[in-house]
Amino acid sequence: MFENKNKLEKIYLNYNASKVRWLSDSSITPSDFFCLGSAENLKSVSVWKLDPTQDEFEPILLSDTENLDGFVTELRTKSFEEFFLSTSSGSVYHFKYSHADQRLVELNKWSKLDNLSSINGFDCNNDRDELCFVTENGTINFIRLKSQTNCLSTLDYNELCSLNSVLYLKHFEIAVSDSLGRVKIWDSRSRENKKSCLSLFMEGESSSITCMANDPNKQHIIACGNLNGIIAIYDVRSSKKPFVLSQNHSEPVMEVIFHPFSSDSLFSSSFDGALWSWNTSNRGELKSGWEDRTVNLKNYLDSNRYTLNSFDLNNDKILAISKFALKMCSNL
Amino acid sequence: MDQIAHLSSYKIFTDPSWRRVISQCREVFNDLHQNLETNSQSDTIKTETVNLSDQCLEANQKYIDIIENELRIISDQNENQEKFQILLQVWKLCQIIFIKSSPSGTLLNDLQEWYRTTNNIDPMIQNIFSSNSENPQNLYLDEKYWICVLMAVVQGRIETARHLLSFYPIEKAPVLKSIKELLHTMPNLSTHGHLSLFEFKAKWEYWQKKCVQVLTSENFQGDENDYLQIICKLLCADERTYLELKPIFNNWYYMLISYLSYSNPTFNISDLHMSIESGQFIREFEEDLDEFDGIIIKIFNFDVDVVTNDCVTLFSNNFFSAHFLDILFLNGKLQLKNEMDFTSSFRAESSIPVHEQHMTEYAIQLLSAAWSPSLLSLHQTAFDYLIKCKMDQSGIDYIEAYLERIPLTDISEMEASKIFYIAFQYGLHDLAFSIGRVMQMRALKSGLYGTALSWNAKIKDCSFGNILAEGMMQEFFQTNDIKVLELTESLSKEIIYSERLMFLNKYREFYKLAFSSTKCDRAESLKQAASLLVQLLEVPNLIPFKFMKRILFQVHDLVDQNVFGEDQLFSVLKSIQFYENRRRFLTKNSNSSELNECNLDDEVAEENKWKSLYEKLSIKIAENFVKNKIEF
Repeated sequence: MFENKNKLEKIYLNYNASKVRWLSDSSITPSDFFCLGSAENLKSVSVWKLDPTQDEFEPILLSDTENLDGFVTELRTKSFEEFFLSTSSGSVYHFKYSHADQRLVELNKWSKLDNLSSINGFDCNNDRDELCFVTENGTINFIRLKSQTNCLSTLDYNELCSLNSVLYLKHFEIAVSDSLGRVKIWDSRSRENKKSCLSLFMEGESSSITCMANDPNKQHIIACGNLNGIIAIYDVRSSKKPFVLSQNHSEPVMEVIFHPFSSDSLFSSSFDGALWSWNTSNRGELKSGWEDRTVNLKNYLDSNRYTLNSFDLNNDKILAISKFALKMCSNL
Repeated sequence: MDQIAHLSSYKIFTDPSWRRVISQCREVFNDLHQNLETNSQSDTIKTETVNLSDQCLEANQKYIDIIENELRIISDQNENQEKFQILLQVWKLCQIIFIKSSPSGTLLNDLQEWYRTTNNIDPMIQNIFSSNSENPQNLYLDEKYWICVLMAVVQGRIETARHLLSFYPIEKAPVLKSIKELLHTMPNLSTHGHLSLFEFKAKWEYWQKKCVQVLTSENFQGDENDYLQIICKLLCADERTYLELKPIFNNWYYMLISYLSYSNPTFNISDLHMSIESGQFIREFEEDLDEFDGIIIKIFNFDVDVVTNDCVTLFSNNFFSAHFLDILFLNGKLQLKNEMDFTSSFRAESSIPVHEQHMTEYAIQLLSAAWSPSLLSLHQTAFDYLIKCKMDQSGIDYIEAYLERIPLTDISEMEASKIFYIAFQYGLHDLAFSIGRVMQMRALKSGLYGTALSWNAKIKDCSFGNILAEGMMQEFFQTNDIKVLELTESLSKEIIYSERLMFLNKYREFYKLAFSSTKCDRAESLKQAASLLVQLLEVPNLIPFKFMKRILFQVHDLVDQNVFGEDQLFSVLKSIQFYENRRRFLTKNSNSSELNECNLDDEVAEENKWKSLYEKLSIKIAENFVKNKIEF
């Protein structure tokens, strides 16, 4: 059940990075570029390139910018050149990396949002004309990307609870997770929502949900990881109990991502530095619900003392960052 | 930070290239200790278990590699370049003398290696070759040519010397041939490693006799600048020549090493010690001696104090001493001070092993550099070192003291959770509890009931839970917004520590059943709501007094719906009576605070409501009574 680790390489950075994302159009198109958002001592975001011809893992720093106003809390790529990031001082930035002159250009910046409270997470919808972000103060806000004026709007409903991450499910539906362990589905078309469409939670498990991911193939399946190390997979069409994966992480789960090719498996990283791949296979049947599956685990990185802050998948490579070290595993 | 001069020297630790070095060294440190712990804990002694001193040597080498790597990465103008180079030089020398050497073992190869790497002549040689690439026959005319040759000889790089000499036209000096012959036949300790020291010494003496022969007999006339003669004299270990070549050496220790390598190649640590005592070379450089030279002298004297005291002053931090002393301690080479030293007045201090003192100092310096609460990773590095100070419990105490003082006012939730988690991991449960308390209060003050509730559920603080529940109920009754109640929906099993929170949870269920159910199962849910409400009323003191009135009025709204059974109606009556009693008691004792809280705005409306409640209840009871009577 537990297989050996695949090839692992690492380099050391001189700052602590909080988020890493591959820069590509989707997680299936292979790419050699990735960006790193920093935590703590440097307030910067940088773009790197991996040389595929080299045997050694030696990414090259292409460009970076050091004047963000807080450290990076969330990073999402829009295409192979553009990405968005949110900071802990309440700003959202839109960057573009131009391959021609190898420079990072700041296209847009929305700052001082919601009284400078930390933006915990954000997501863009599929057409990329709207960005939704959630803050520590419990507000859900929207930015209309294409319009110049009146771009910011807020949902009337204030959750009274710190909201941790948000995902766009369909074009107008968002899933929001909070620090009481609940996931709420909202309709983003209207701003006067008094009540969410659906509220999902696990009985007796109320620790804060730190990260969410949605299935690339099926829009109604989302996975959430929480502070107790439990990963739950919800089907948002119904409010049945979620499918719970709870074996290997005893420490808070930092990031959850579905496998880009097969939506039957997902990866998770946690505070204890381990990176696990959960492979749930159908037992012969074509369409079985999540409850019937057996889970096989594969460990990519052993637990050690160093928190794995974030990781990202592209094609067959995983990039992970822990304290000051950037690691890559390949051949998924 | 900058104002405190004493601390400003630790600011170096926040420099990016130092951060890289620090985090890598931390990993090596942790791995070493972990390996040792697993080895000591395993029941069987496996043969594959690498022995202790090899592991320590390996770890030390890794530290050195880290610094070398860093030197390669950073640019030449970086201010840390010089610091790292000095650090590297000292570290390598300490490794040779303190770790690798044995009392009778030869130091030649290691010290020569040290000399070569810290005083690298390769760039100079490459320069010569590149500037004379068109016409190699003029190579020997280059101004730096002879310097390179001489330096190659003194550093023991015989192959390089021979290669360079091959460019010198042999017609000019026939003695060159014999010199080359001598160089070719020079006995080399590494190739003759199979010989015992005595045999090697014999070979060497024989070879040196040949050198002396060449020196006295051969004709050095053709040599314009006596260079070849100088080379021959060097090979014969003529002390005067070494002293005369002072400009090449730059430092007395290099001179000493090369002299020893030709006069007594099998020298060991005591020979080195004796040479220092005689002071033959140190005197030449007397006017240039500085602190660094003092350190080198002490290292050559095998004086471990140099690491504990002088290096700390040289580098102005304990980075090197902490790591190195730890390696020495694990290797068993560091003797603990005698604990039975009753005469010493500083007994407390002397019972803490010196390596732990330095590790603690280093950790404290890291923490002084990381004065901002967002530099958590530097804190965790420091904590790793503090944890390993096992003999003295102060490691954990320092961690606790530091975590206590991290300000929690302006940081984000995630960071506070991390600090909480760190405190929890180290077993500092009281501290974790107090962190939770500060955070829940902070959330409550900004009106974020949900966040306060999540922290409360984490630390299970009963008294605050009660206050929070009452606050939430107040909010709910004022705004009539169910989202306040819904905050408890995921917490059903976890809040049994606080009865008010449990009440809140149950009340939420009641409210949902009574007012938010769909039309089809309305009757059923109303009945459930009613029985739930009565259960709540029955438990003594479950409902906070100030809300009793509102709850009772909600009973009033439900009574019409025919949902209460007989016994339930009687329970309701009992609780109304209890409420009345308590209110009378409070008015009598003029306990105004509690009374004021439960006053509604309109006195008259309230009176009417009470009246109608009594009316309805009595009607219902009477009805039931009559029904039963008839059935009977």
